[in-house]
Amino acid sequence: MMRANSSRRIFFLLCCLVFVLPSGCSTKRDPSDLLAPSEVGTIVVQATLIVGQNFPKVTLARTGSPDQPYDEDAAALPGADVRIFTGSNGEITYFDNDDGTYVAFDHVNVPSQVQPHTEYRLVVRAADGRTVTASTTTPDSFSVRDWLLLEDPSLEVRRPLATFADYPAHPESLYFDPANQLIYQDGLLEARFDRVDAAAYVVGIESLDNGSPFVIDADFLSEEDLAQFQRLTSSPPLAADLSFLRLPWFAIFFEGRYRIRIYAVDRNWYDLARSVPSLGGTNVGFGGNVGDAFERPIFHVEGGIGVFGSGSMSEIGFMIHPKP
Amino acid sequence: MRRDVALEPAPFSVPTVDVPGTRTRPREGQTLTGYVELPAKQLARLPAVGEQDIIRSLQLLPGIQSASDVSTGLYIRGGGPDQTLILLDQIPLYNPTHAFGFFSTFNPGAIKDMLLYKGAYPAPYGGRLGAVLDVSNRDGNRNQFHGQGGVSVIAGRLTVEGPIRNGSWVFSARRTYLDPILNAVRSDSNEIPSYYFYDVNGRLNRSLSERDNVMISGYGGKDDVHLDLDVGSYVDIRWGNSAGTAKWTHLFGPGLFGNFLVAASEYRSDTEVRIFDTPYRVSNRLLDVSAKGDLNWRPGRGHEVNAGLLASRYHFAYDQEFNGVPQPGLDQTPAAVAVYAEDDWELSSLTAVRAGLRLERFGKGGRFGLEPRLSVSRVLSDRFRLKAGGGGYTQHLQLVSTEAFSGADFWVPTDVTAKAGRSWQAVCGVEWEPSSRHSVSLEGYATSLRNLVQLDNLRSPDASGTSTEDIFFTGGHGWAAGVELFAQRKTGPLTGWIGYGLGWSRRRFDEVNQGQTYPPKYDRRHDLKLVADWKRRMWSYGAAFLYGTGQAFTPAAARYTLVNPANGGQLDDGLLLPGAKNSARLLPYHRLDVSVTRHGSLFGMKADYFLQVFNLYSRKNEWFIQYDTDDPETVPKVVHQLPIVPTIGVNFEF
Repeated sequence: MMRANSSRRIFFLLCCLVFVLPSGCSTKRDPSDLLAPSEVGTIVVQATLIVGQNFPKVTLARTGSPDQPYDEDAAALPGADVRIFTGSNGEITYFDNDDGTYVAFDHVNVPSQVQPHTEYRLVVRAADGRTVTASTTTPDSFSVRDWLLLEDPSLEVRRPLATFADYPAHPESLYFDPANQLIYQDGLLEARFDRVDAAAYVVGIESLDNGSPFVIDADFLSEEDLAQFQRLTSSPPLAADLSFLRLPWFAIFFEGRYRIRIYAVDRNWYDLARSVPSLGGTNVGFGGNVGDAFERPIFHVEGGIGVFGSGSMSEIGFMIHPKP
Repeated sequence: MRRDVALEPAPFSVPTVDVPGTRTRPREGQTLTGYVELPAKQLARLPAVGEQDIIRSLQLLPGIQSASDVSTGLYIRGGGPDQTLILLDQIPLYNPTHAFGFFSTFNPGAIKDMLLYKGAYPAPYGGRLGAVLDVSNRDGNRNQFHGQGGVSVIAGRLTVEGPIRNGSWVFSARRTYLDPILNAVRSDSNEIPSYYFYDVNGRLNRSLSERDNVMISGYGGKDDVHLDLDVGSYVDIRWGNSAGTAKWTHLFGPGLFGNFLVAASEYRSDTEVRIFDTPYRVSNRLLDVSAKGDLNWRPGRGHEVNAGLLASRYHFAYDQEFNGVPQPGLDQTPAAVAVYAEDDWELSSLTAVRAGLRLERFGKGGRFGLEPRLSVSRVLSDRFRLKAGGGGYTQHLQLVSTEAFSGADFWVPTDVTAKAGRSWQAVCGVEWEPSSRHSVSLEGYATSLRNLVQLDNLRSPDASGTSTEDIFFTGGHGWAAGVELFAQRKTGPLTGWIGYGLGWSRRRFDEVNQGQTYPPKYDRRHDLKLVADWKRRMWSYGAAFLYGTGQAFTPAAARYTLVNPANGGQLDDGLLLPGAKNSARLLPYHRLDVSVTRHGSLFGMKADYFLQVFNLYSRKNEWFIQYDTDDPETVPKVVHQLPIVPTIGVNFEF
């Protein structure tokens, strides 16, 4: 009898315990608990050198608080001294536009266009005395040898596409060349090239006709989902070990003119692109625990974050038509 | 001389007696640290979600955690699920999950018992850095035909067993019946997949002679998901395990017997996705064919010597194709050999020592691993026992796993580009049995981990390298340490336990968190488990309460923006910059599960009708933080785990 009473008492106490414990806890929490604003004010630098093109503008900004909307104007960082150095005495001085952007205006012992296989070093001295540095070594010049439309699934060549080189005086005419009229999901578009000394290849995809209708037929997507489709997209960094890249149809959403640019990119661009999901990075959580994919991007910027990268580029344009 | 005697059953009446449970492997329990032996029936009585699951029940023990309410992965003493060896009738199962990890492959009706070594496991086992879960199928009833089954809200199961000449057989099957429900609610306006899983278990035991027994055991299971999205867009995923074991046990003479087995285990998954006519296909297969021989010799003077040899041949095949272009795959057939010997020696009536050595050779190039194992126990008084144990452990196979979707899990062997994972464990504890029905144990453990790997999530999807250093970040270090208190009431109308764990776990990789040490997500400082099972006449009541420190997560440290260099487009209006990895904590996790069972009858059969409620007070436990950067106004979103989930069903026997 004593034993039975004892058992009941223990069970009763156990029940009390499990009900009392949770009542003292709440699942309500301040969203700011989820943030740790430890890096607010860090300098963000961005500049990407493209081989054969003029030196690009350099953009400087400061990071904002994670619990506040990002205000680009407020974050802009004017008043810095920005220079790019190359070789033993090459130097490019940048002009401050007073809006956080800086443009190259003085080239000393440096060609005005970005050279292949060359190291460039960016030095930024902010008005508050902070210094940000970064280096990039440009890849070799790169061009696609053949842009081809293949049969699907036999992969036989249906026809080559015309390129911008075929229209040196009127590049816009390329989009209307009969060879560059593509029917959505009819055949496969493939770029064949000789690989160069680059960390990876990134494909930039631009739908040039704003407002053109969707070419995809996706009843399973809501209006909200469709609104997420952007006219500017890019691929994750690709190895392209087989010396060709094939455009997946799921990267095309709209009718009208499209421009595809393939970049052979340096290590800095590659590391940024593969570690920022919005850049097509593969860090989307495959493998590992749920929620573990929120990892710090790889920046290669001393004293700040951002990217000072380089690439060489080849491009094509074509017109997308809906399926009949 | 040996004489077999058959006893005739004869009924007689006695007053109600209280029979304390006895361990079927008393030596294991007396000598080893971190050892738990659990009958499947005991685990099956515990509250469940949707379907009884004995792996989920293990998560109610101290020192064992789950990653989430929807995961059956075992995180034991600060280690990941890949660091636990899971055996079914002595052959590894490589992906023992159904329903994307929601359920385990172990049909509770088919399982006899589970031996769990939470750490410092003995020499007969190897191949994992942390723990071992050794599951045995039921032997089958040698006396009469018997059946049992169960019906829950999502699945039905049936087990039948009976005698054969000089032996027994058992067959068990389980299948979900969600398909008709899913079909009924599917329409043109919603995309609900079709889904089912099934598993079957079978076992045959037979005595060939007075000295020879054979056992043949098999398992097969499959999950199948199909989702039609639109014309030219669908998802089709199938995965499953199959395993078979044939074992011969021979009595060589007094004090010497041997077990010899051949076994095979296969895991395969096939995924085919087509989105807007762009196809992606991935096929993954792991085949493990093993032969094993063990000798058990009792030469006297308190010695029990075990020695054995295990030879395994693996076939890893990973094959994928995107948009008609073959992607880098894996096709390797490494071999492994392990030999071990151990002596379980009762030095005196008070002291026992179990010393063992295991030697492993794996893969091309023949990398060796030498693994000493030692356990010591000392009786301090009638009721107190002191235990200590430790050893070295090696792991050559690495799991690429996704907590949210275990169907795509695959294993890869460590090759010559990286060292095999290595751990050293030390455990010590004290046991106190204040009465025959109560026991209390206190254990401390420490584990050092070297040569860890972590999937390199950032590599290019078409990168050709498939060596270990191509796929993983290698050379990681880590450690785990903690203390566990386990107080158990084993017999009587009220049984259950109170378990408390205090633990720390850390990892470090050069490529992760800027090379700084960080806690893994499952680092759990406090871990409290209260389990009670109360029988009263025709009713049984069960309750389980869990409380744990919130999981670690990475908070956002700042907001910034960049332009996509590939197209000049502005990225999201304010990317979030992660702070130090896992430097913040979710809210503490707790929940209460309860169950009520009415023992009765169904069409003349003995039946148990049960109602189980998972998360009775519907605590909104946090699962992970989702950072949405599409909208600059959006604050981080907390994704919660399962709310209250009631389950009803019936188990029956005939």
